[in-house]
Amino acid sequence: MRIFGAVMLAVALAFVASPTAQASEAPAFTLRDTTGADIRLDAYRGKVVIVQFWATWCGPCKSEMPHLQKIYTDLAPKGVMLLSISSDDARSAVKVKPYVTGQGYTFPVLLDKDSSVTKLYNPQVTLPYLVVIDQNGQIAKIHTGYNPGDELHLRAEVEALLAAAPAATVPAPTVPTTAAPK
Amino acid sequence: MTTFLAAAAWAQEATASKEPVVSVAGTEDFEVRWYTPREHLADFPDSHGHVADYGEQVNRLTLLGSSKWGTLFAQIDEVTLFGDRYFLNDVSMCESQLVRPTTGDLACHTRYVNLEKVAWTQQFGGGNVTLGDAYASFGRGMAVDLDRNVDIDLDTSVRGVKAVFRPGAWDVTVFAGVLNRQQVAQDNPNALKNLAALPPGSERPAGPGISPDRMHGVAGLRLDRYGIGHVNAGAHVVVWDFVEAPGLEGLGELGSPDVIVPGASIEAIDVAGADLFVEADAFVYPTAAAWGGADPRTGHALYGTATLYPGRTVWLFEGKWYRDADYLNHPTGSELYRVAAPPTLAYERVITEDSSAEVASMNTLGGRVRVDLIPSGPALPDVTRSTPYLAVAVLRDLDTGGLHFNAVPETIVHPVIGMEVLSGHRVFAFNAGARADLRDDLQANGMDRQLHLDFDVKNPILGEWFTAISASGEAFAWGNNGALQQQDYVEIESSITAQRGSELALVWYTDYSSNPLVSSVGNLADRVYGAFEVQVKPTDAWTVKAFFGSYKAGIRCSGGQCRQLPGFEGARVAVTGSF
Repeated sequence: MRIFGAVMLAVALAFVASPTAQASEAPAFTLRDTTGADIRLDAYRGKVVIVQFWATWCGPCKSEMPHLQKIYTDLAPKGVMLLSISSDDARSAVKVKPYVTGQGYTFPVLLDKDSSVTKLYNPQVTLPYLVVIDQNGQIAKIHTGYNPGDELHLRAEVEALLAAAPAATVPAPTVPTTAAPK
Repeated sequence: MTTFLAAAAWAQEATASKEPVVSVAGTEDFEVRWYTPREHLADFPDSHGHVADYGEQVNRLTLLGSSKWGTLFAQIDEVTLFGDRYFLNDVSMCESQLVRPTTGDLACHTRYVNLEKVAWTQQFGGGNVTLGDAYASFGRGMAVDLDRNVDIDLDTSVRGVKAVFRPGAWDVTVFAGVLNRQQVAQDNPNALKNLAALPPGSERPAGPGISPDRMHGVAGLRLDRYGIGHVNAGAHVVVWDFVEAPGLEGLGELGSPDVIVPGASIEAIDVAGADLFVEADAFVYPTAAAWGGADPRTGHALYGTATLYPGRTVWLFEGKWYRDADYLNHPTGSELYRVAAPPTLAYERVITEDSSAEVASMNTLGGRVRVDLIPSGPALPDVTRSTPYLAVAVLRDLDTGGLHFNAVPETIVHPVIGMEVLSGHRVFAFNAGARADLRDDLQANGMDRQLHLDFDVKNPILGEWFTAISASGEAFAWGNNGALQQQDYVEIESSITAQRGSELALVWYTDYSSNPLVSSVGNLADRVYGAFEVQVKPTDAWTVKAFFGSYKAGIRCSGGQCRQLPGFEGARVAVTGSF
């Protein structure tokens, strides 16, 4: 009964704490992108980073991606980075690059074939799943699912972070941190 | 004293720095459901109607603590059955369906709490080391593919140690441990009721509910070298050691490998406008454990892809040859999960009881080609973008054992067409196909045939309101299966949603099935199931769902694994979110 009570207490605390508790450290990670290049989250410290979790079989994820491309295109010069992490497993990883290439997306797409990063950020594996990380590496906002109009909220949140602490105005560093086969 | 000094230093650092030393985040998934299945025991002396009614409460809590000393992750699952009673000679009796292990047996209650996953991970340079539960997947998943499969609620990890080193252009991945299967099913009944199978008047069996896990051993090593010009190459070896005894007793059996899988892969990116990938694995069986005592043969798995991007098209070619490799998955078959799975080349959404055999075939050879027509430029919200595709899979399935209904080899031909249209907030997507399993003795035993269609439409209607309609259906006709003959059938699943932004969704579900293999009974009619759900999102992070009605049972396949899911009739309330 004690354990059951503790679990229930955790649920209650979660509700109470939820409005402010999202300001936690974004766990560090390194993943390979679709070309095999190394991408490290901490390489983008000082920028607002949007981390998107998606999969080729996820319809709402695909609906969301043109809007993310628009935000990325508009705000990358102002200090915003978009890291799109595919949750496709090893078996379906082959579908990722053809899909992204076919849609003409220009942001980096990373492969998390063994869910090592998904487990840290999105243990329920809800898709799509967006994490907004501020310039100090703190998680500022989490969005689960995608519905029309969500992109307006996302843009407003990102612009607010940029206004609060303007990042260095540099082009989006899509160049990998190690040599990529090209 | 040392501990005291360390604590003092830690506290000082916490005071000096305004950033939190340790931050905690987590997720919560809480659900209560009441089952009222339309099952009645023939000749059972029950005068109280729904003999199998019971309640189930499931809770999944994940916690993640982050600090400069690494991250600590934990997943705690809890399940309680309540109101689990039946009537014998008009006397109310209690039963417990969660058998072992359990934290307590109360009257008409059974509860089980388990620390499903726990892991500490520390990053160093570009690499990391994990102690506890970690997932492992090499290449395309043929040698090892231990992951979380959300669709069918399977989650098997390696409990031990895993490390990834990234010196320069190399990746070195090494892991060793025992398999740790998630015990509590979040979305499905943990109590398995099979009343119809009981002879009249017989005593009810205790369980099976949650069965004790077996701690199979596994270890693996993979080396990857990236950026050799346009080429990435890797090689690996995975060693499996299966045990018979459940729990800690099984650890005594470890030490004699049952399957050894050496393999290698090579990938060429953007070579003359094409991407190429090839993987080859050998399956060596030092013991007969995976073969059920039969004399083992060495198996192999080959898989390759070529992707080309000429003009406004994307061509994806896949090929595979799989022989005596799937024995690797036999020892965990009774525990309902697979430890490795090759790409199937099949359209998994419509896999049936028979065609699921191709997923787990011992001897299959085939290929698939898919071509997408793509518009120019990037997908943007203000551009209507249509991407139609055509795919054709041809597979030769030489396996006639196991799950196969066919007594002779067959050739499977499966063309699929589809299209995805994105236009602002409007979405339209569909897939349609026809599959034929042509037996070699076609004149005598014919072929299995299947037609399938699925589509999704999302459309804004007024202000923040929009509608979404999803449906999938299939018609299946069997060839001649002799004593195993089954009835042809039609199945349809659909949902109609009216939604206001993210805050409110009203959903109506309708299922139909004339498949006699489906064990559930509809609530609107014998074959028709209906349900209504309200979804409310009071904050960005939390969702509350209330469901009332019924959905059908059936097989569902995802990620190379298939699972028979029970139907549901009753009501449930779920709260999910993150903090």
